[in-house]
Amino acid sequence: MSGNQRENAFPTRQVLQIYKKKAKGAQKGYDLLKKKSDALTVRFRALLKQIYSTKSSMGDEMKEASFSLAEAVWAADSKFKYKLIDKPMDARIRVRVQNDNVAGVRLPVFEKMTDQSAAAAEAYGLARGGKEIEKCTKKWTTLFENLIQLASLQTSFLALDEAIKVTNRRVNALDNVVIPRTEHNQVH
Amino acid sequence: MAEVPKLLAVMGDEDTVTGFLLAGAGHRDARSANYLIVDGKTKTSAIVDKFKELTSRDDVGILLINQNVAEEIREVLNLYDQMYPTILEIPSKDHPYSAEKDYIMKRVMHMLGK
Repeated sequence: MSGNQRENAFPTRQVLQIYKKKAKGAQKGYDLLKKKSDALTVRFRALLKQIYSTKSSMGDEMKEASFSLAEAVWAADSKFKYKLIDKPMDARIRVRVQNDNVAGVRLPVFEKMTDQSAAAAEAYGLARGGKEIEKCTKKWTTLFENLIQLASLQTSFLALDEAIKVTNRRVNALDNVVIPRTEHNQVH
Repeated sequence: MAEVPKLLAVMGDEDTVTGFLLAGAGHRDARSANYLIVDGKTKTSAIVDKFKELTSRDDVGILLINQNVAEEIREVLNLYDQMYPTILEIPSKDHPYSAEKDYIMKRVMHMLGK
């Protein structure tokens, strides 16, 4: 493919001017896209590093939270877990998808939403262990906040990945096809 | 894009799900629950079914899954290509996190050239 193809054109000065304009336009388009691709790539790499370091340290957080749960169960009542699951449930924590804008690409991020109206302090019908349960609840709530942030990073990463691929395809198309073609026509 | 807040969901061991419920993310209505407790007796098919159910709902934003559970349904996970819900592989107290197995980290490390 490539270099040797020409568009059919009569070699008049007028036509040459048109092709010169076309080449300039194509070059400009190429430059803009390249800039966009570079901006996306910078953001992309930053995200990669963040995801990697956040996930690597998550293991310790989970261990702490699990330990806290064991303490609470021990302090309260071995049936605590079952009582928890037995209750009817309406999620107090949810997430909302927001859109960030990076170099013209909409990146999704999660925002934590807490339903304040729902009962915050649960009784669970337990005689003891309230303090441990509260401590445990706090630990898990914090952990889930971090997990929600991590999910945002992941989603943005996937969206950026896709955007970069698309942009690069367009850059390559301009680079390999349109520009050489119009340049070739100018020579001719 | 819908502004309606979406649910979290979890598939994991008892401790993880308990923590999830304690934090207030649990939801159960006439349709189903947004969590699944997976233990040694849970069948792989049950895990796959719940995964498919949770990922086909449009009101679930994030799906947390203990990594050892993710390993059991790795083939299904590898084919997953939806934007929502986001799948977050997390460690459990019995199974420390392994970056090599995490489907997201595999891509990340590939990009970073590690």
